[in-house]
Formats: sequence, structure tokens, C-alpha cells
Amino acid sequence: MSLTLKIDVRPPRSKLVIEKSSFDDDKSRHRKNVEEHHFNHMVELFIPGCAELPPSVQAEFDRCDDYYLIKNVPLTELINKDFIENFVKKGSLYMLSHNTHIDKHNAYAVLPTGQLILSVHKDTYEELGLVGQPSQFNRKVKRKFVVEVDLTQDIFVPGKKNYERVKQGFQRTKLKADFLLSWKPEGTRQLAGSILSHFQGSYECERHSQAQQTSRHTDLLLPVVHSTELEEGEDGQWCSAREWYEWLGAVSCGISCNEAPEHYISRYSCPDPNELTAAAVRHSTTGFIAPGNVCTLQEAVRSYMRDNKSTCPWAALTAHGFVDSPVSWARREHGFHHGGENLYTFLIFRDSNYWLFQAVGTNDICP
Amino acid sequence: MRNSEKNKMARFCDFNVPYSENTENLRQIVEMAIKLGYESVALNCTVTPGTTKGQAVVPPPPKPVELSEATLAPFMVQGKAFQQLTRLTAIIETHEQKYKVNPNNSTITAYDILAVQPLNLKMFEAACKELEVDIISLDMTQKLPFFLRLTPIKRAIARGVHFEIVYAPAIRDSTLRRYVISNATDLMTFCKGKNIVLSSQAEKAIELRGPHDVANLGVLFGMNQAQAKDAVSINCRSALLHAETRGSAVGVISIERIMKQTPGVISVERIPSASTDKRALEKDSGEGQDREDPPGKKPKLVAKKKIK
Amino acid sequence: MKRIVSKGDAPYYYLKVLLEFEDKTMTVDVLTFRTVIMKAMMSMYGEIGAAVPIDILKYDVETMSAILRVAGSNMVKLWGALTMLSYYDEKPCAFRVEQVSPFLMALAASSRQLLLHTKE
Repeated sequence: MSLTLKIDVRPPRSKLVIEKSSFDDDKSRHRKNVEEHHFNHMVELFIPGCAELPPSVQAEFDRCDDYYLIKNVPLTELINKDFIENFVKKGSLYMLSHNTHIDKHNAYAVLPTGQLILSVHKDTYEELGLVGQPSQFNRKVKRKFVVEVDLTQDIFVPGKKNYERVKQGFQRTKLKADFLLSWKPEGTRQLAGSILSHFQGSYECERHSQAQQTSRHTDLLLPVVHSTELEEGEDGQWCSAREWYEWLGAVSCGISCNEAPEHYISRYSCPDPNELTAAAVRHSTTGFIAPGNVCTLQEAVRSYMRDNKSTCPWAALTAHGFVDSPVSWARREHGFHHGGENLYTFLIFRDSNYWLFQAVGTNDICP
Repeated sequence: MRNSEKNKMARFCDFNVPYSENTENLRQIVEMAIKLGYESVALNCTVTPGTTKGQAVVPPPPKPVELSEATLAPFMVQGKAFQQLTRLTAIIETHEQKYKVNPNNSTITAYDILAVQPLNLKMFEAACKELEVDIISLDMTQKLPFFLRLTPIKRAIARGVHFEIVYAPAIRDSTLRRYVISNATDLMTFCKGKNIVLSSQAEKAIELRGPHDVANLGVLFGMNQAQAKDAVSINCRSALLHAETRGSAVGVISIERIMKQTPGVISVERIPSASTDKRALEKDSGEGQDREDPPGKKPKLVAKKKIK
Repeated sequence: MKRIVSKGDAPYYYLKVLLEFEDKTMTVDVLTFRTVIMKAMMSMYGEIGAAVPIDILKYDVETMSAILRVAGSNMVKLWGALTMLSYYDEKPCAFRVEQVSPFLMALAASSRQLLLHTKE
């Protein structure tokens, strides 16, 4: 019998998708990508060649909407008819259960498209009595199930069979959670704050604003990249997209990579070839950020890149998703193994080309 | 909160925190477990039944460790509870000792989880095949006194009994580590990563490791990524469910389960009584049905008739 | 438009780790920290383990926390060795692995520790 310690085992799987396209291309999916990534926890912007964030971009960061935390909301509240008519159907509603670890607890989300997504454990699922799909990530042992309830359907009204069944299920299981919430009303007639007054009477509500943070770099080495070439240059004229992505991660984590320390400690340094920039700025905002804000931010960065005559060769915009969200992009199921990565980075060049990096962890479907 | 609610989630568990009179040390261990992300621990008492003449010395289950509000604060915010269970591990060597471990003894049933540590092949086979226990824990810190065999292990898995691997001794000492790794990989070749519970048996807080770290150790022992994570979460939960139903279903019964998942279509599945795990689930959902009238109640009667 | 999809094994893995001593007053500098990791690998896998290249991308002496980089194929090995470490210099200690990811970028944020920013 062979007794082997499995020291050559493979790490958990992950996926990285790198896409090169142009904002001017009709088929470009840049907008769709931002809009479909519903739940953003942190958005960060890195602009080399600038000592300060451009005022037009800073203004967009400041304009990011506040979000709310509403405590102990029973799910029956989400299928309340007034709530559906006044908020779900009249704007973009984003709701995500807070402090629920998707690998351990039940997690819920409401998408702006009007779906209520429940990622529940087998026992809850059986008690709930609603139709759902077993989770994609453990088909053999069915532990988790995903139930989708379309709130905006015309026939989803009290009195109809489906509605009553959902209601009974929620009442029976008494499911509830704390929810992070952000709502962007359609048109301008209603105020975004009116959703707060809907909940305020019965539940504890908190209003939160995004937390902004700026860090400045001086004399930073930048890897040289070529907007049309993802692969490394044959004569080493530019770096590959992967090398650049790792480097940007290093900058975001506050790792200094201008010079490699002693070989014994680390062999990592800024990829070759590189060039020195006098200043660079990194700005981030953390909270519960709606895709709409990321869209306008992206537009602001693009128009800055077009107009600006300064030395900034490119800008990088990254959005980190919530690790415990039941969906990553659109309605694609998302889970957590050792880390629930779902994030994307736009590398925006001056010539309106861009690279898009989409990174997902073990329990996620390829974006 | 309903009683069955506590088992609903795939929370991280450490089912082997050795109980000792040293309450300060014990509190430190439990606090560390909370800090590392565990939501459930079991305080373990190890006994050798029959050591005093003809008398099984089973102490009453230990009281849960008193925790300060500051420690429990994260659970208060989330509306969840930290769970402290009690576990009895009986070391068995002779038939006489084996009979002491029976579910009719009220002191034993007062514990949430019942585990045995068989010292020889006969007892190991008995534990796998017939003893009403939840966890079989082998002392892996030394050369096993017998060779593991496939048949009893398969039988144990079919009965929903779990095998335990403890990691703290492996952390403590490199010789013990060698034995633990060797025995764990050996066990893995038979059970193929199924029905394994990874727990600590930590004597000090510093010996505890986080649930993800432990899951990764499981991968080193030969489980796949998903199985290894189950060994610190779902499997513990199944062991607990097994404990809850132990002894409650007597005799041969067949249980019909109404598949509620597909509304409109009612299918009935016969569950053999041997599969305790499924029985546990049935019990769970059965409670829900008693409490309130579910939509599937009426078709249930129809379905029963069909089967007859 | 061009699209590159890399699935499966990532070339590198990044670990955010923290070294904790039972004696809270202990601190180690980056060289010692590297030695602790090397010894952990050595005691688990011998010379071959000790030779596995591991990069300390960032180290904070105050909190003894670091970001490590290791080849994807050695990730489980390194993680296991860190978990098994219990003593350095006869002082009880433990590595706490806080975050693991094949993307360095992912370590820049962690939504499980979302701190809510209350509006005045």
C-alpha cells in the first residue's frame, strides 16, 4: 500500500480573463461589464504621472451615493407589494445581505433587474418549498441551492398561486437578515432617501457614506505596456498583461517594487522594461458602490485621458466585488472557497483602447 | 430560536476541545476559537469505562465556558449564536467496556456527541459495525495497534459514523506529526476522504489553527479541496445530526419523504432505515410539518395511498 | 478584440499571513521571519522544502504580518508547513493565514471586514 503525503497537490482553481478592446468598438462590452457587476465593495483608481487626482474625477468620487444598512429584515418584507411597486419597479435597487458568509450561512440579494436571489442550505431549501437549482459548485453533494424569485413579473401579485407559495415559504422559514441597500430612482421625481422612510418605521436603519482614501507615490517605476499587445514583446520592448496586473496588485497592496530587496527575502521587483514617473496617485473608495457610480467614474477618467495633454500614459480602474455575494456578474452564481474573489480592472489607454482583467476565485463561473 | 435551527448552517466546528479543570486555559482556547472563525466547539471528556471495579465512571457533561460579552459581540451583531457542545470519548478495549457505551445510559445521553476510541481490531470493528456512536477517534499519534481494513470502514460510512483526525498533536511534536500524517493518509486510502472530521484536541490556545488552515491540512492528507473544507464544517454537522437521532428511531421502519422541491409534482422516495443521515434530515423537516400546515401536507396523504 | 482566458492553476499564489507568539512582546525582523518560514518548510519537507522559493513581498515588523508569494504548485505545501509550525527558538508561536488568493490585487480589499462609515 502506498502511503503518500500529497505534497504535489494542486491549489484551488481560479480563472483570469484578459480582454483587449476599444471603447470605440461597437461590440465593446465595457459598459455591460460594469453594469452587470452588481455589488462592488471597493473601487480604486490609479493614475501615473499625476500628483493629484484630477478635479473632474475627484468630483465623481464625491458624488458616489450613500448606502443604507437595514437590520433584521424578514424576507417577507421584500415581497411586500408596496415595496415592489414603489422601489423595485421604479429604479435600480441593490440589496445584499450583510455579514452572511455564503459558504456557511444563507445569503440573499436583490438585483436591479428585479430578481431576488437566495443561496440557501439544503435544510432551509427543503423547508422553503420553492423551486430552485442545486448550486453549481457541489453538484455531487447537494448542499446549497439557489432560488430565484422574479419580483417584477406581472403575475407576481398577492392572490396568485406563485406569490402565495413564496410568501408562505418565507413565513414558514422566518428567514431574515441585515441588508446593505442602495437605490437609484428612475427619473428625478423621487428622492433616493424615500426608500429609507419606507423601512425606518419598522426597522433599525443606518445611513453610511463611502470611505475615501488617497495615497501618493513619488519616483515610481512603471512597467512599459503596449496598448495593442497583451503578450510580452519579443525583444522585451514591453511587459505582458499578466506581469502588469501583478504589478498593479503590488501597488494597491502598498508593496514597494522599485528595487528588489535581498534575494533571500524576495525576488520580486518591477517588471522589465520600465520607466520612471515622478508622481502617481491612487484613490480608493470603500463601501457599497452601485455600478452606476462606477460607470460615471469610468466616463470621467476617459474624458480626462482624452483632454489631458500631460504625461499620463494610462489609468487603471479596479472594482472589487463582495466575496459573499451570491452572484458575480449578471446572474452567474458565485461562491466562496478559501477566497471569494470577483474583481475586474480596466486599463484605459490614451488611444481609447483598453484591457479588461476579470478575476474570479474557485467557486465562480467564467465571466 | 427553534432547537433545530442551530444545526442548519455549514458553520465551522471544532469538535475536540479537551475539557480540563483549568477554566482559565479552557476559556482562552474557546476565545481563540471564536477569534479564528469557529462558530461551534465541543468540550471533550475522555473516559475509560470500567476502570473502577465494575463501574463506568462517566462524569456529568461539563458546563459551557462562560464568555464575556465582548467575546460574543460578533455573534450578537449578526443575530447568530456561538454553540458550545459536550462530547464524551470512551476508550474501549474489552467487550465489557463496549457494553458500557450504550445509549440507554442517561449520563451518556446527556452528552451531545458520543465518540469511542477503540484500542484493538475487535473493538474497532465493533465500533464501525454496531456501536451506536457518532465519531470513531483513533489515537493517531502512535503506530496503530492494528491494520485498518476496508469492510468495517465502509460499513461505518454507510451508517453515517464519522472518523476523526486530530491535528494539535501533530503541531506539538515532530515525531507525533510523522505518525499522524502516516495514519491519516492511511485512513484516507480507505475512506476516500469521506466522513472525516478534522478537529484540534488543542491543549493551549496557541495550538489552535483557523478553519481554512485546517482544511488545507486535509488537502495534504489526501482529501480534495471540497472534502477538506467539509471536514471542518458540514461533516461535523452531520455527526451532530447523527447524535441527535441516535436511539430515537428504534426498530426497522421505512420512512417516506415527500419531495417538496417540485411544486405540482409529488414524488415519494423510500429511504432505507440504515441511512441515519437521511433519517436525520427527515426528522428535521418533519418537525416543521408538525408545527404548521405546509402546502404539501394534503398531497402527502395521497402519496401514501399510492404507495400502498 | 482579443481575449485570453487562463483557467486552472495560477502561476503564483499570494498569502497574507501573520505570525503570532504566545509571548506577545516578541518581535522578529524580516530576516528572522524568512528564517522561520524556511525552518517550517524544512521540518515538514526537508531540504527540498527549504529550497522552495518564497518571496516576502511586504513585511510589517509591528504586527509581524506579511504578504508572501509562492508558485501555485507549492501553495498547499507552504500553507501546510505554516500551519504545522508551533515553535520558533523554543517559543510557542503560530502562523495565522488571513487571506489567500491567486490574484495579488484581491488582497487589497476584503469585504468581510467591511467597516461601515457612519454619516454624521
